[in-house]
Amino acid sequence: MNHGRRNLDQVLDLTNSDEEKARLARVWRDLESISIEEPPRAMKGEFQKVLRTIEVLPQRRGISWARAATIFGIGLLTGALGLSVAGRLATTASQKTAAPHATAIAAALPLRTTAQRLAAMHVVGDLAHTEPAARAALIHGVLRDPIPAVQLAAVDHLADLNLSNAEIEVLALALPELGAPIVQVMLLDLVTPTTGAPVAEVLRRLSRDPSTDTTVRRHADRALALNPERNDT
Amino acid sequence: MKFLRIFATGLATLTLAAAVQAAQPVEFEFSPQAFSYPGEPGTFRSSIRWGEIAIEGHDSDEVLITVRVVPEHSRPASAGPIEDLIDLRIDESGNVMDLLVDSQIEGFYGIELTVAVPRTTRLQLEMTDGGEISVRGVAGEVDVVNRNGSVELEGLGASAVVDARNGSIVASFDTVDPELPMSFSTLNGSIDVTVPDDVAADLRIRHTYGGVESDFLLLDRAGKSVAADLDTLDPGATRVLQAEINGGGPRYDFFTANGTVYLRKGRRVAN
Repeated sequence: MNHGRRNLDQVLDLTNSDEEKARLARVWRDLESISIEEPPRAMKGEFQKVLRTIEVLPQRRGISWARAATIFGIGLLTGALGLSVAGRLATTASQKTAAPHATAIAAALPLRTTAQRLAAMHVVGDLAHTEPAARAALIHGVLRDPIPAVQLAAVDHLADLNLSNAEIEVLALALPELGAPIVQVMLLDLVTPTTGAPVAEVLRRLSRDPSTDTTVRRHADRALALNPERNDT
Repeated sequence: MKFLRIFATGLATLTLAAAVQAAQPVEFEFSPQAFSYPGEPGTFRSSIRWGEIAIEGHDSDEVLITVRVVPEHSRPASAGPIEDLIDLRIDESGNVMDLLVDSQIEGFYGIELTVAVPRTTRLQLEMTDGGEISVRGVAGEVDVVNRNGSVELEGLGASAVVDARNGSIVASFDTVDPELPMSFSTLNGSIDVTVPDDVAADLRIRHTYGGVESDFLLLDRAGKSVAADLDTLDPGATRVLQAEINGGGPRYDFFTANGTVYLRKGRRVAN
């Protein structure tokens, strides 16, 4: 049994509403039907390590959403483990199945509102200072979460970390695809100090694309100007 | 599950308040709706393209919905009556009520949505193309996305997550949920938020081409004052202000690229 289903079982045990139980049971069955390739052993080890860390969250100050946030965080991490932080989005079979798996888990969680999802992202953000998988979850949140507020929270937490060039490259490559210009602007601040050629290429594309929001283009111009060597290519 | 398809089943009361003519607004008034479990907070959701969404909390378990369709002036009469081209549905399940708008009208038309909900209702509202969204007197969590237009929230009682994109945000809270985070973001516009003066929160403000003004004494974790009025010497450089008010609490995030953030003290109002 995978971690997602095990945690759904816990949710089923805790919930009191028959309707909620029925809904969760449906999602549980859906999860059964998803063919999920087991992640590599190294990923599983990292995932379990994060799980052990998350389990102590209820003792932390001011996190009464801990149970919901914990399980949501697990969902995020499950999806994030399918993200290649080395440079590109998911490409392998296991990576492709991880995202719907995480989505299905997230759909089953008692996180009914955006504010609760936001709280969960902040929990993951606090963890990211010590847990590499939580860093990946933040990147996953920026790239995949449909809610701008959650994406922005993830960007904000990432700004507190010393990101590697590879991590910044992943974020930069996603810039043109992000739907919310405010997320693009805030993310541009993250990638501005980096001088890698792929990042510079993205900045040039954003700067010249007439369909890109004016403020985003101006911010991309600024990022290019701050690193003159980018303009050499 | 209650499923209302007004033209197919006739389960709703339909009132045509205006003449069926081209370029004339048409108003649809639904019969009073209710959540499956009236004693528990429900969720009301709606997403429209153009127009106006106005929600008000009231002391009743009923949900009262009026929809006004405003066509463009140049709309030819030959296009047919609006009520044949627009499909309004209410889908309620598990205490979540969706107002769905499906239109075959070509060209510009506005949807003006006026809804009265029980005060404890949670709201998820979206305007995808343009218009104003306002909410008054709702004690449930409010989640708003408005891509081209302003958002005005007044007398809220829990939390708000707002992304206005191109427009200003004005929000005032009578009280807040002490555990929930909030987020306010807009690309082009100011953010003006009033919270009770005893609210405890961790603030995170990112602003690019604008400033910050606060009634609250902003302190860092070491207890030192944080300057709120950060005039940026480098236009375009995003400034980050991190501070606590009243000892800190859940995160309140503010993001604006072109606009000023105002944080104001208000008075707590009992529900």
